[in-house]
Amino acid sequence: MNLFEVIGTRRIFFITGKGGTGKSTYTIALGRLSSSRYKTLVVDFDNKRSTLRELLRVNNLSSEPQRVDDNLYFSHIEPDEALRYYLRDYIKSDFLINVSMNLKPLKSFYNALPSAKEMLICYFLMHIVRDFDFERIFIDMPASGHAELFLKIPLAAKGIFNRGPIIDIVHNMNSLLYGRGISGVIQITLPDEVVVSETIEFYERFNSIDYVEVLSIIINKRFRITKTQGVCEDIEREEEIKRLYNYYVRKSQEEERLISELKERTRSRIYEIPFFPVKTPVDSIVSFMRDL
Amino acid sequence: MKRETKILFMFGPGGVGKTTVSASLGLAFADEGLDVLVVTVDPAKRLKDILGIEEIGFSPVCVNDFFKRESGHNLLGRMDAMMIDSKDAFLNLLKRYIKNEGTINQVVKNRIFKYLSESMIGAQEYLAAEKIYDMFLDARYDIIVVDTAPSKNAFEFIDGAKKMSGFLDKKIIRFFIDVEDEESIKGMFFKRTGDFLYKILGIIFGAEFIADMKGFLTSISSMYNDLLQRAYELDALYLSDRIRYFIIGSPQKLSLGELTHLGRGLKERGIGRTATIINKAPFFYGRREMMNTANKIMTNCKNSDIKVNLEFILAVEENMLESIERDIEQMGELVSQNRVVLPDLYNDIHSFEQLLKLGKICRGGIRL
Repeated sequence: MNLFEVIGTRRIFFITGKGGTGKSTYTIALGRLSSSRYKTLVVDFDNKRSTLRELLRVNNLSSEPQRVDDNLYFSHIEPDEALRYYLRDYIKSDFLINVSMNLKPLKSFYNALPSAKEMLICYFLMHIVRDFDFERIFIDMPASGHAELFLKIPLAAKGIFNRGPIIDIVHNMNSLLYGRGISGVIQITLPDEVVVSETIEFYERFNSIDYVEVLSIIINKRFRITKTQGVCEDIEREEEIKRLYNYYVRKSQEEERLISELKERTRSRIYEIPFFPVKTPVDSIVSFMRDL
Repeated sequence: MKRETKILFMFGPGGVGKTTVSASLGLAFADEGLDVLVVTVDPAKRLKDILGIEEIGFSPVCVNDFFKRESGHNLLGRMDAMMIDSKDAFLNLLKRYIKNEGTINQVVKNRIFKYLSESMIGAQEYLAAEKIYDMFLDARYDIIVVDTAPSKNAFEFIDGAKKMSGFLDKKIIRFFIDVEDEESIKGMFFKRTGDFLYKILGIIFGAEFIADMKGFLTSISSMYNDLLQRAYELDALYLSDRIRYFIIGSPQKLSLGELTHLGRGLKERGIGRTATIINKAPFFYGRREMMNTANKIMTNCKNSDIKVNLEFILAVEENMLESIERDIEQMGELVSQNRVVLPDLYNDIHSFEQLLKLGKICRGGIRL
């Protein structure tokens, strides 16, 4: 089943997964794939360090989208930029915005207030969604636990602010970012026991948020060990090499079991992408996904 | 008996085996006769899974008996394990300073409290650190091993105390609660900025939220000084030699580049004494000759299926080996000082013996 079918369903995709599963790699791979048909944006908002920038080999970081390829754009949202943008909606004078941005107590307050940064990032995302004509947007999310908090921002905000500007924002957030048919989650996982069980756990937790839907699960780095008959005598003689070989055979069988468990316990589409033993696997992944 | 407790912080990206290394290192220390506490801040219940002990909760549970039952081996020292939950830690904190039950209930019902203790990003780490500091002051353990949540939060851990002291700074607090202002010029200046700040915060967060915040801060006002004091103490502790920092990475899960980032971040914060633990090193790490042998076997292999498999296996291993060598080179002096490379046991660790074995290798490579 073609991955384009998944890309075709929504406009915004949240790419999530445990740390190290390949979220950034797949944000770019999906972005590349999508950009052959749609005007596409890839976004990240990791503090200071942008994995997407490293993978895209872009020199400058900017919160406003910048073009990196024919039909592919990249934006790295800085919390400070997001705050400035937010203030601009309420304070008309640039001078006062600068004064506010330099107010130490404001900085400490907003640094200390949990989720404030995430809310501002959401606000900036809404600006991108509304004011640019991107047909597809792929967001490289933080690791699973933080991703969940991020997706729950509308809920958290509703619990804490019952009137005031934030509630209007939450209202917009629901219709622009999270509304039905607008966005969906793509989970990236590895064929590893711990990672798969966490994926199932978060699959359930994401789906239990009523405005969130997990669209598909991508299993990264699948091993391809074919079932074999007979033996190779040289391997039998070398104790250590035999141990290594058998480990991979067992691992490959274990993966089969994990994947069928994943299929049983989730209802999203599951894609298996092989392990490409090369330095930068993005290109191999894109061409593999294209041929799916 | 009072101990000179040392805290070992384990930092690293998700999935590299922080919890496994923490638990195994804890066992190794306990086996040397030290009294050890292993604490996990990770919301996932990995520590329970790894040790196979359901009973681990929010207060220390002794592991020795389980260990004895499973492996037949007696640990010379004592090993305890516990999890930290931010809500529980917050409540503990309140109970320490506020003796009046009514006030505590009032605080717990406050929406700000709910928000702070449930949906927070960042404050969790501070609360965890607070609880660990309690254990530290208790001086019941020789070693406390702290298994932190994945790496982005690592700095939240260290910066938490600074943020908290920034937040509790009198300059901010006085904007929220009614302070009896002296009629000085300084006081008037604060009042002016205060009004402006209040307005800005109102614009950003809404006046009602700010009013709620005021209520919350007023209800816990009796504990500010103590809290602030603790935050300063914690901040100082982070830089003292009672804490050791370990950065854990694994070439199988992730490029080790993340470790460079962690190492630099710690250095920026004035923390130099770090050690790097590279977990699940590739099979051929440090034994390239064996890789050549394997390549020869692959070339000469007559069974075509096995040949294809072995070719793939060697390509994967080579890929991991290259990436670890490249990363170690890139990390340069950040890791050259104090580095432990743990082998992949090529077997999932489920038994205590395996854990202890891994812990001993790790223990052998680090200095305290």
